[in-house]
Amino acid sequence: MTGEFAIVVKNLSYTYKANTPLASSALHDINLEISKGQFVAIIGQTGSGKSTFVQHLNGLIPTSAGHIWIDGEDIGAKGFNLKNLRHKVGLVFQYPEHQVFEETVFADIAFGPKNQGYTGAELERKVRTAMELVKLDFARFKDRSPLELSGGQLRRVAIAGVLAMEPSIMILDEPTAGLDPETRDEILEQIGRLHEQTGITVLLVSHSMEDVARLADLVVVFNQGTVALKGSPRELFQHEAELTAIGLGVPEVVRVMLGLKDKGIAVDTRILSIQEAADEIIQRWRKDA
Amino acid sequence: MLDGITLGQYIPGESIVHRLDPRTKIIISLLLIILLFLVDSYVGYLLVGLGIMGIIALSGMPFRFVLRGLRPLRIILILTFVLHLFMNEGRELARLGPLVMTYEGLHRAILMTARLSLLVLATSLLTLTTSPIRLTDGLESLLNPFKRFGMPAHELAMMMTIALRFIPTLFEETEKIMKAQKARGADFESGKLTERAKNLVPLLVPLFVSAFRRADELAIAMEARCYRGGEGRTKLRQLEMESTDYWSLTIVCVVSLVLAVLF
Repeated sequence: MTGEFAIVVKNLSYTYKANTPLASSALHDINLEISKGQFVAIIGQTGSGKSTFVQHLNGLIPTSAGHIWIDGEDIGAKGFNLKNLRHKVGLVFQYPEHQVFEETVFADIAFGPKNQGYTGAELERKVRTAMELVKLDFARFKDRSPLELSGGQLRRVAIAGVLAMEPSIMILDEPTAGLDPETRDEILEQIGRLHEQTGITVLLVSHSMEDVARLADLVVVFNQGTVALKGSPRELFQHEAELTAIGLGVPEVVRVMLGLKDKGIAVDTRILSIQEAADEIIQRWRKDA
Repeated sequence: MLDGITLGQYIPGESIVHRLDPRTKIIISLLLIILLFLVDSYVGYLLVGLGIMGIIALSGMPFRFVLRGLRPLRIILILTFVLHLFMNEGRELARLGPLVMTYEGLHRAILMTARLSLLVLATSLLTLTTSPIRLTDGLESLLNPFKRFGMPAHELAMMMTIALRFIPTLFEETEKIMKAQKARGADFESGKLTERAKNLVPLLVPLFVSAFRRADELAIAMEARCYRGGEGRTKLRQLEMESTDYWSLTIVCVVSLVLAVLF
């Protein structure tokens, strides 16, 4: 496999509780290529297999059928070092605050890099950098107990805990689930900035189109364990009917533009933000007038 | 690692075993447990084992799946076997340093391991074929006569269902936290015993926190739906004993009695 791809997935399938009366197929013949430095959104309804899929990428679920190459290495190969893989592929779980266990914020964020063997000043530098990336003031928060923090702050601590390991691929599984809209926007914005600043490959799992439209280069839509659609957000939102059938829909502003087009107004529907939509409508208006 | 746990899990089905009244099944399980402590010979265990296999066959559940319930207990089973093998006095069979293996030990080891395995199978068969709601209903109705002596039958039954209901949830939670910590480089599988115990801290702390949080949430959810205990509470589904219940009870009673007396 070539080196330009961060992740290559071929014919990946997975069944939960295989060979029991409770067996249920979660993934079916997934094929996907993700370039280095790409921001990828993985979208799908609850139970579409997206969480199962991302857990394969750092070896938490062993590949039972199919192949996955991370940076050109087959992670299902015999003798492959899973520990190194987990340092390379950082995975932030849903509700990551539930995994926080240390007495101080510093100690909890340091858990990952400590397991990598870092100590002393180097360890502190990593924790400090990670906290800065998620906008947690190092001096103010490092000695506080995680129990005193708000939901949004705790979530940031948990994300920093994975960032501190300095992975080259960062996967976030529904990082905004259960947060209020303001905190959600903040966290998403920080993930976007993180991607810009560090240039690492980011996979963002979500069930909300609105969340990912502005951030992602590539959107992969999961439906019932298969990849139903993929493409850039602009391309993808042209498939409104399919997306609605899957139960995902498109951002409101895209719906407005598609509606205008339906009414015979020849606007360009490949827009992502309200600003772009406004510009496009004004331009159309001027041309017609 | 935790995938194989069948204890406390319910697999829906339509077999005759599934349809039996929960009271019948509880009594049968109790009889089997008592029987397993009375029987004390190879033939006896073999026959009880065959009986349990018969019930599994009737329930339509794959044998291998039910047997998997023993897997999490394999360490206890092996320990039981080894301890009995070496700790009994008698005629020497073999010698391992200061440890003496005896014929009597081997005999007890086989019996004890068989007893433990069959106990687990008999009880897991009850929970595998009975939904938690029916199980509580059955327990409550069986404990009702003791209410007169101040036994909180409803509360006990409720507590048991909740405990049973949360076994799989807690296992799922454990698995989830384990994965999350593994993703941060935690190691649960290697190292010395003391190290391994220390490595469990990142797993146990969040697990306890979430168990308490869940308990709190459940209590609030129950109160929000005006739950206030057993007094004056009616049931949507009344339990009714049918002829199959009486038949199976009679058969198991007679067979148990015979086995207990003979073996």
